[in-house]
Amino acid sequence: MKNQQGLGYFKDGFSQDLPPLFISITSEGVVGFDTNSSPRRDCNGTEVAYNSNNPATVGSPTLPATEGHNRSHSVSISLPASPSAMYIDRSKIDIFCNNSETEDSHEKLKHSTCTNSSILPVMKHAKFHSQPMHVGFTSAKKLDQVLSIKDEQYNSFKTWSGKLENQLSNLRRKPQDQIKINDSQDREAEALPAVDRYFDALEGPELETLKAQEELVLPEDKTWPFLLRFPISSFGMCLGVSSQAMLWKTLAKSASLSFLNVSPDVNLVLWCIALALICLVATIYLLKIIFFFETVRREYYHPVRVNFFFAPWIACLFLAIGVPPQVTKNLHSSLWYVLMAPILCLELKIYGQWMSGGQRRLSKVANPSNHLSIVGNFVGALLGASMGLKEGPVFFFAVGLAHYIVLFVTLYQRLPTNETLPKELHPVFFLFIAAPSVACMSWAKITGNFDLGSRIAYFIAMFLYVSLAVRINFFRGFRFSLAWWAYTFPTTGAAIATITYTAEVSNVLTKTLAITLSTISTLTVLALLISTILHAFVFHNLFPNDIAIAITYKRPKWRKKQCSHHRTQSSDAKDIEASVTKDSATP
Amino acid sequence: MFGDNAVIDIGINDQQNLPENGDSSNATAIKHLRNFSRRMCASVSSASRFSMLPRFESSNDARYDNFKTWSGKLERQISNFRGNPIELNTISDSQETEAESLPALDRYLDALEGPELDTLRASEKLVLPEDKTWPFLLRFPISSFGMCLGVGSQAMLWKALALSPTMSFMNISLTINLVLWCIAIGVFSLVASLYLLKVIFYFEAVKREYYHPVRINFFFAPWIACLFFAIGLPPHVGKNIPQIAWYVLMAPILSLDLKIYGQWMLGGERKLSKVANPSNHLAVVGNFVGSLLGASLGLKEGPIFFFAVGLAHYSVLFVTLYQRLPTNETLTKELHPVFFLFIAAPSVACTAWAKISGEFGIGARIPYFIAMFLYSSLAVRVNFFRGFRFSLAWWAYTFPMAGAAIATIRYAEQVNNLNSKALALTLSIISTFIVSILLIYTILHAFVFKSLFPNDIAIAISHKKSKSKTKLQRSTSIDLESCESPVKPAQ
Repeated sequence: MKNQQGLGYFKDGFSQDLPPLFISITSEGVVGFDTNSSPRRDCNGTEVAYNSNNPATVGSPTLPATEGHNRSHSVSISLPASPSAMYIDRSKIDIFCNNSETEDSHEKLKHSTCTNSSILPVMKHAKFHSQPMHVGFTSAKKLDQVLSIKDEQYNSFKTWSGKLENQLSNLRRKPQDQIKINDSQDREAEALPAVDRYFDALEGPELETLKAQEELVLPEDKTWPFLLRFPISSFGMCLGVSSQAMLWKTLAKSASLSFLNVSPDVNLVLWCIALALICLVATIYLLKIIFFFETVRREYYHPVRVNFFFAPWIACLFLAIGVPPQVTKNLHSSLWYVLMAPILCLELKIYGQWMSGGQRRLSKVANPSNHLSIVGNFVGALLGASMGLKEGPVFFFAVGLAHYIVLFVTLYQRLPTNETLPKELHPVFFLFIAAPSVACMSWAKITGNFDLGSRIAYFIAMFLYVSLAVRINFFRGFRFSLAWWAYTFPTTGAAIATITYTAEVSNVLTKTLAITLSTISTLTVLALLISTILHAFVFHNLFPNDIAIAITYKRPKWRKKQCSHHRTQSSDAKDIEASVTKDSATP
Repeated sequence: MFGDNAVIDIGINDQQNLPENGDSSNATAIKHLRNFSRRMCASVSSASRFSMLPRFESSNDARYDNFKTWSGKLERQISNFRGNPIELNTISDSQETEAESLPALDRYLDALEGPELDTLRASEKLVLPEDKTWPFLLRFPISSFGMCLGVGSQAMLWKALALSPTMSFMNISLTINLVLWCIAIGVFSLVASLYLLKVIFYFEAVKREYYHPVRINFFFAPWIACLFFAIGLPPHVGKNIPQIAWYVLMAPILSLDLKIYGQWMLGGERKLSKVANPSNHLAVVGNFVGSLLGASLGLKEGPIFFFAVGLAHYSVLFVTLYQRLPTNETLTKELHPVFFLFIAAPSVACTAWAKISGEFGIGARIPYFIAMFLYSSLAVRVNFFRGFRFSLAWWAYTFPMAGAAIATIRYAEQVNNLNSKALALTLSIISTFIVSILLIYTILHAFVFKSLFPNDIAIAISHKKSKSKTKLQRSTSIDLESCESPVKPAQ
């Protein structure tokens, strides 16, 4: 029960199987079950038809209908008079046999003080009852699952099964459904929580920890299918390893560090690993796209996760930059266009969202991980310039610079509306170093020498690095996550920039700095590798349930304690009243 | 007056204790207990004050003990020993005394007002006696270093005027530079030694200045003043300072940069969206002055480093100040001399970039014209500059004009025509004129009104919002509400 709060997401999956349940309820002849006439008036007589055929009537709430419809019938299913009662009865509902259900509804109807008195109070109660509607539905759904196949829990996240199901049920219910027009609209809104819901339900710097009072639409206590637990941030691993390949290539090639005698084989090995890793991750994620497209969409709408959609392309760019001389000397420039096309599309989408606002404006979603959506420009400019292109790299550099300034200022301001910014230091802050250090290299490549412009970018990166490094002792107490891999590439980028700088200003100090930064970066990656292996094979929790994708569409209400019951009741009533007056022509 | 407050505070404590000991309903007792625990800090401070109460009738000095470097702590320890059996909160005692000694950022913003956050709001009270003159060191603010900035920048300006080939028609003697430089050094030594005494004897007060959201920026002032002296070094004294001196001078600026910019980025309370104030320019301009000095010493990489750091954070600060976010409470509605700090960073950045790149190119002209625009934008509104109480901090707001004048002299070297020369001359005259006016003001306030160093309200705000001036009943009920509200989400 507790895992099933979000009605919207499951509607698709279970609606077909519901009618039998409701038929059985109806056949029990619950007093007041169908005689509660007042809600029907809400819908301005449209539901009169329901009185004529009972099974259809009871089935109707399962339709993706307007809220008014759902509300009018939600009373009849399981709804407790109070959220607390719901709380107490939870176990009962979990078992959920028809008898207890009817008893419950008896009780609750008694509990609601004025069932048969004047119409107005009844209406109010009906409104109140309608609030925990999801509870009712989801518990019904739970029954469904308990009775039938367990796997159906994940149906709404599946690519076709949900839709097919839905279409079938739509076909069957067409004659009863009055609101065909905005049907698809409704379903979309239900399937994808609004950005506010992400902020409300989740917390933490990466927005992937559930707040205490929130619910999931998937079972919390079970391990979900692997593909559902495989987040887009896994591409961070590719970023980390491929940037290492770049680093070791630069180390091997650098004239000023030739005394180290780094073999180019290290680069080759790392590059092959990175290539294999990216193929593996991409394949798995492709499977996820094919089988659980709903989940991918939810990740895409997650304000932090969306930035990781840049990661695959950036990793490919890294691979192209770090390509070992043994494999190929020069890549064809069409590769650059192929790789930059998706980055450009994503940028048009995301920067457009920042500029023209809506819910995802920058003053709301700004988070250090937004740097991932900036850094792609600079990496692209670097690759393009090293391929010998002229205009394209400058284009991406310009785009990156403009938006980097905006992002940098916004992140530094820490606007009170930026809720996701972590209070304390978090590895995600290392992304601050990424953009200036890559910008430094790409500007040096574009202009052909390491001039003042490159130095400014380089020194900004160095200052930020130092500024984070002196606070390093705060980096603890955070739960390891795969996304951390993505935060290693900025240190690698800083190391590569330092090596480039050393080529320009070659003295002991700069060489030491270059070696130190390369060592730090490699050590960080090694440490992460060990943690990853430990988590994968010892703790077996490398891929925990991906909370971020399974938040409910609506805020759950039933967990409130008894003492706050009255307050919530009244406020709920207000809420619903407001929405009702907005939705339909209810008096 | 002071005694009265203490008595009332203790009265509040009694009020809170009463239901807890009495036989009223459980719920209210618990509420009051919560209330009590919330206000423990206040009660500790009042208790410690109370324990000092008999003594400051005898020796006047004891009131300032809290701000003294050693005696304050000792006193507090003693009073804690004495207070332990009475107070319930032995465990978190040390924590609270620290909290008591340093008000949180919000308290500064709540209790103080004005563009420099140095005027007390009507409802607030001080921890030091308002009606008496405090010891001189307590009244000596860090913003006194502004004087050194003002005079030091004049020395720079007159050196530039004397050495500039385009201004050679004026035949300005280098002696003016020498005289001004010596005066500046003298002022600096005086101010620095006085402040050093304050650091030694009233470290608590220095800490409170350090945590003050506006004053913290003035901690850059001594180092910037030293950089000015190095740049404005008269040829009579020496050609250039040794390069090692540059590293010595930049080290504290870098540490302060790391501290303050880190606070902006990593937040906590002192995020930029909250503390942004024109005086933050002082925290940025040091980088540009440092890179100017470093470049004129012939260094290569160091100056670019500081220029880059300054540029990055200047753009952040510039945007934030222009936005005037609703959370930036310290930004003044009307114009105030502090706004002249807007000119400082771009004009110094212009000269610094010209030195770094070796020519007055496009890169130098862009910040120069930004500075000129801001200058005229402020100048056309100059008639609004009135009705503000003179303060020593105003000296700090004169150096941007000197900086703009110097930048114009450099510009006139590049674009040598009548207009640019006239502009350079005008700006130099304005800058010197303003400094002279301030000098007269300062002398007047020092010797005629004897109000050059008024009580430094900003360091003496109380840790908790004062309740004594509102009615007792009301304040308790408000407390109850505010106590309950954090409990609610936990339910």
